[in-house]
Amino acid sequence: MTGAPPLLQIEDLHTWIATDAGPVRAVDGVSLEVAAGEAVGLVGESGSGKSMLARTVMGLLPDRASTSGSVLFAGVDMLTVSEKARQALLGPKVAMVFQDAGRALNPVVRIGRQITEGMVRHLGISRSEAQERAVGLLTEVGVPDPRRRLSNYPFQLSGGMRQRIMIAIALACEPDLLIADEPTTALDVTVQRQILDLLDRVRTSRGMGLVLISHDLGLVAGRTDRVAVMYSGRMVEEGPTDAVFDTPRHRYTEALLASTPSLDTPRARRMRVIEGSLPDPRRPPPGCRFAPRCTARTEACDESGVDVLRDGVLGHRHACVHPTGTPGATALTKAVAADETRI
Amino acid sequence: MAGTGEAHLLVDAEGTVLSVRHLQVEYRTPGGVVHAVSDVSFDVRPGETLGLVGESGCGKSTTGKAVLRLEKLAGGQVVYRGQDLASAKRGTLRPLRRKLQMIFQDPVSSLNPRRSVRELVVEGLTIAGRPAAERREAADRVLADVGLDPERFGPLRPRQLSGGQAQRVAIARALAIRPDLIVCDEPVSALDVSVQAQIVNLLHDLKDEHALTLVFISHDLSVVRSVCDRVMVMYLGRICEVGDVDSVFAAPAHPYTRALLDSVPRRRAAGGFPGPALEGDIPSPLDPPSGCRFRTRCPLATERCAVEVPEVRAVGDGHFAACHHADAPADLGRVPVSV
Repeated sequence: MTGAPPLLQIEDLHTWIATDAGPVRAVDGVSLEVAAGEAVGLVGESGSGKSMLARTVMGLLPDRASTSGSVLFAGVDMLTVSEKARQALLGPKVAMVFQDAGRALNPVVRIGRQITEGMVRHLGISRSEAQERAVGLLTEVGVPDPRRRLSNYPFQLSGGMRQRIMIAIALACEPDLLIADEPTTALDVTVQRQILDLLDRVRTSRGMGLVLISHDLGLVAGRTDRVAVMYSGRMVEEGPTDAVFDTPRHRYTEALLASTPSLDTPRARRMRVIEGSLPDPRRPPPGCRFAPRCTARTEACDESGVDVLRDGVLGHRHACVHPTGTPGATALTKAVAADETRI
Repeated sequence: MAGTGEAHLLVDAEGTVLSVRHLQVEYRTPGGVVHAVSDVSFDVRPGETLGLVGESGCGKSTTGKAVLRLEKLAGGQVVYRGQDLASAKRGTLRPLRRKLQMIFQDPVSSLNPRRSVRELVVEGLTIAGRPAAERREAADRVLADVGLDPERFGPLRPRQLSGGQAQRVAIARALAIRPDLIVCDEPVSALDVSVQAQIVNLLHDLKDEHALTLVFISHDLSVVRSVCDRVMVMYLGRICEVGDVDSVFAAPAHPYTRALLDSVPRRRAAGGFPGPALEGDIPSPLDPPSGCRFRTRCPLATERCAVEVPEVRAVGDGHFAACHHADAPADLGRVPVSV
C-alpha cells in the first residue's frame, strides 16, 4: 500500500489461547493491511485462525487468550488501548457481523432497541431521532415494513431477516470498517445472495472498508479486491483476488481451490483431495505447517522460519518453499490435475 | 403440479430400485397443517445417484426420511423392488429396512456417544442377532472399506473422532448390513472442503464396489453436480425439475432452478453472480400459494400459475420440469458465464 496509512494494520500478531494441554496457537505471526474503502477476503478452513484474527481486532477474546504484535486501527493500537477508548471505537469506527444472527441478537429485546442502543450511546442523538434513523437503516438493508419490525423480537423473523438486522446494527454508527465473519454460512443460497448483494451495496455507497471472512472461496472471489489465505494460524498467501485465484502460488491454496467443487470448472466425478488433517494447534510443525500434507514437500520445508511471506509481482505474496508455477513444478501439477479430473 | 404429472416416471417400474408415487407428508401443528411434501413422484434407477436439491423447507430431507418410513406418510406409495413400504406391516418392513440405509448431516450426534466405533458399526448386525464372530469380521471389513484402521479406531468413542472420521464411521455402519440403497442427507455439509472431497470420493468408490444406489440430499449445487447422475429440484414440498445433471445445470428449465443456479457465487461473473437475485422469502408451508407454489416469487408468473398446478412435462431428452412457462424464452437478463 502506498500513500495514506492503511485503515487497519495488523503486524506480526500472535493470539494464543491457554488450555490444560498447552497454548493453542490460534493466530501465530500474521500481518495484514486493509485500506480505507477496500474489500479484503480472509479465507481458510475451520481451525485456520481466521475468526480468532477478527475477534482479536475487535477485542472479543476469552480471558485465557494472550496476544502480542500490534493491531493499529486508525493509528490506535487495539491491543494496548484502554477499555474505555476501545469501546469508543467499536461501533462508530469498526463493527462486526457474526455468522449466527439468531444467537448474536438478544432474544428478549425488541429489534428497535437493539438497533438504536449504539446510536444513542455513540452518536449522542435522542432516542426518537435514533428510532427514525433505524427505520432508514432497515429500509437500506431491505427489511420490508420497517416501522412494524422495530417492535418485533428476533424469534419473529426469518434467518435472512435477522442477518439483515445484524447488518443494520453494525451500520448504525457508520463504521469505517465492517468485519463480516461468515455472514451467510447459515443461510440458504438465494438468501445468501441477497445478503452479499446488500453488503456490496452498502460498502460502495458508504465507501466503507470490508473484511469478508469465509471458508467459501467462490463467495470471496467475486466480491473482494484482495484476498488472504490462512492455514493453521499462519498466512500462507495474500494478494489481488484475481491473481490469487487464477495463479495460486502456495501449494495449500492451489490444493484448496482444486478440491472445491465449483460450477465454473468442468464436472469431475472424483474430487481432488488434500490427504491428512490440520496439525495440532498446540504443537505445529517447525517449518511450513502444510508440509505434512503437501505433495511437494522436501527437507527444506521443515526448517523453522521458512514459511514467511515472500514478495511477488503486484503485491501477490506467498509463503511456499516450492511455489506452483516454478519450472518443473508446473508439469507435475498438470499431470496430477489430468489424473484427478477424469469426467 | 409443481409436483404432479408422470412424464418423468418410468413406465416399467420393474427397472427401478425405488418408485415413489404421490408421496404426501403433513405435520399437524397448533398453527395448522404443514404441507411438507405434496404429491411427489419419482423413480430411483439401479446404480444411479439421484440428487435432491432445494433450500430449507423444500421437503428434500422429509422426502428422504419418508422413503425409509422414518416419517409418517399422509398418502402415496413407496415401492422398493416391487414391495410397497408405505403399506407394509412392521414384520415385513424390518427385513426390508436392512436394504435401505441412511446417513445424516451431523455425524457425531447421529452416533451413540457411549459406544465404541467397533460396536457402532455393527449395531445393525447385533439387532439382527448375528453371531459375534461374524460381527467382528464385519467390523474389520467395513472400517477398512471406509479407510479407518480397525485397530486404531475400533476402541474410540464418537467424541474422539473428527467430523470426517465420524462421517466415515456413519458410512461404515450403513455398509455393515450390506444395503442396496443409501439415503445420504447432507453428508458433507458440516465438513471442511478438503475433508468433504475425501468423503465424496469415498462414497463414489463404495458405490462402485458394493453396487449401491444413492439418494444424495444436499443444498450445495456444486457438490450435487459433481456427485450425482440425475437431480430433482424441490420447492415448498413439490417437484420443480428433474433430469440428467448435465442438462439441468446447463439449461435449467424451471425459473426456480435458474434462480438457484444464479445465486451460487461465481468467480467470473460481473458482480459475482451470473443472473438476477430472487426476491422475497419462501412462503409459509401452512398456507402454500395456490397453483404453482413458486409463483409468488417467479418472474414469469401469470394468472394461469395461480389457478392451475403445473404438471411435470418433458422439456428435453431425460429432462422434465413442472412449469407452465418452461419453454418461454427466459434469459431474464442472465449473463453468460465462461467456463
